[in-house]
Amino acid sequence: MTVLEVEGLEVAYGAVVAVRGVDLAVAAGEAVALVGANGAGKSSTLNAVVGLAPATAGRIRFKGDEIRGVPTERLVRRGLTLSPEGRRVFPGLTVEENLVVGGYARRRAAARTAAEMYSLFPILAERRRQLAGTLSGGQQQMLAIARALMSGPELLLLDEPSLGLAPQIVEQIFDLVATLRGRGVTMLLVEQNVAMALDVVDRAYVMAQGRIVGSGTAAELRASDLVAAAYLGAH
Amino acid sequence: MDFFLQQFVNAVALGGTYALLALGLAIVFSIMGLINFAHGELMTISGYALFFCGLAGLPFLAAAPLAVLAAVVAALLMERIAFRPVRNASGATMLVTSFAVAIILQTLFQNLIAARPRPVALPDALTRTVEIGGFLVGVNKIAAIVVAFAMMAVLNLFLKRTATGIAMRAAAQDFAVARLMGVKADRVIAGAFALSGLLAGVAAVLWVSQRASVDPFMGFVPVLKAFIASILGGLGSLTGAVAGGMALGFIEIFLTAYLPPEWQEFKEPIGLALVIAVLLMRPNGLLPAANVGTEKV
Repeated sequence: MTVLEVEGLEVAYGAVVAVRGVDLAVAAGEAVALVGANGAGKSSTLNAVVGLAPATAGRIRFKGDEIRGVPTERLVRRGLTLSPEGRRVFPGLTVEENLVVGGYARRRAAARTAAEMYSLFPILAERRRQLAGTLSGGQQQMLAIARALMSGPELLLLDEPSLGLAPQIVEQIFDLVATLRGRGVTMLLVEQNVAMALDVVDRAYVMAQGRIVGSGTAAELRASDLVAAAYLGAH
Repeated sequence: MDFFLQQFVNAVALGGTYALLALGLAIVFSIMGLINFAHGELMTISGYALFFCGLAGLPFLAAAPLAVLAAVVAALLMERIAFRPVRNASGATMLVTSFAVAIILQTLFQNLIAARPRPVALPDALTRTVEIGGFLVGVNKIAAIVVAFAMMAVLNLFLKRTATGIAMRAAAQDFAVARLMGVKADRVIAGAFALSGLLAGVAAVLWVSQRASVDPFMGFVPVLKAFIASILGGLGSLTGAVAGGMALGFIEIFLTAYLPPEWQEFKEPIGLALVIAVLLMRPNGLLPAANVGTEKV
């Protein structure tokens, strides 16, 4: 079953067109990456899916329903959650409170889900009363992912989880993404770090200058020079 | 010493009221970046509710919750009618809107009710004094202190222990991400206004219980003071609002009490000079919000 289907998406900030005619799809149980150089339009694509960036044309269907124009705050109740670029944990809230907000859309299950998150991320359990702003970057990223998982998403959008983290921590984060995939979490992952992203996903789309310039399974993309070309600006 | 203690009680009573008003301003500001100068008119509405309840023969204690409710409803209507249409406009647009709301309401009070102050009958119990440890304290002062601190405690519990309160604090820190988590923008903003109305209503009841009258500009001066208090404490910070309100209450009462008579007419400028001196040393206020300068909505 296709969970997310994007067709002919265009995102424009005033006169600046960031995304032109993007088509992509994610099926249930799949982990898909959207890779490309900085400024290729990856984050704009994700933000448009959740209504945080202006989608000026195209269709965005989630579980068969058109969601373009649906307010951001309603999407999480339908099963679509984004863990935003730059982590953006609530710095003045404790770890525990951040998770409460993550589970806000389904408060009844929140306590049980929080317990699951603490077993998945023991470090967060240790720091549950600490202000999120005082955590290290890697811990903040774990918290951001845990917070997004609190809503029990049917599709998790992960925007640049490795951004700005030390190489060692990046590995931990990718291990975590692999664990989530193993647990059957459907994911669309935006990453600049192609090599590592391809290791943890089934398929990937390559973006350059606002367009999808290629796609394929992780193995196919690793073997082709498409990715290198996209990063070196051949498109 | 007695005189000092008496002034101390007065300062806490006045500071507590300023703190409640400053908290109301801070809650709305932290969530939508609006400094609501019509906050004072919520107080005035509450004051008139007390006056009309009195006319209808309702005892003060029964009128007080109705007066608070009137301010909550008025705050919700204000948000819906005046501020929602300009929610995504610049801070300046919202500020001017709040001035417009304030002036329209003041004019309505003057023309539809009365330009002159109207008396509000207080129960005898509130106008008495009691002797505590050898000095006399007004019951209204004790009530003001107890109610202000009880309100702050309840507000603190609400913001820290309930999912809605935590969601409101999250929205104050990063509105877009709070929405991503399913926190509804309309509801959070309406909730912020309802809370600010609640605080203004309680402050109004306390204010009237010290003065026994209400006029069209009743809310103007205290809210101006509360605004200064919230700047002094750190704009948008709730603990700062309380600290600033208390500090301003102390400055005001102690200048009145201890300045020599020939200096009394300068007490306001001296008080403001003290505030400016604090801000020169701590430009973001006494206890600034964690996210000063971050983007709103």
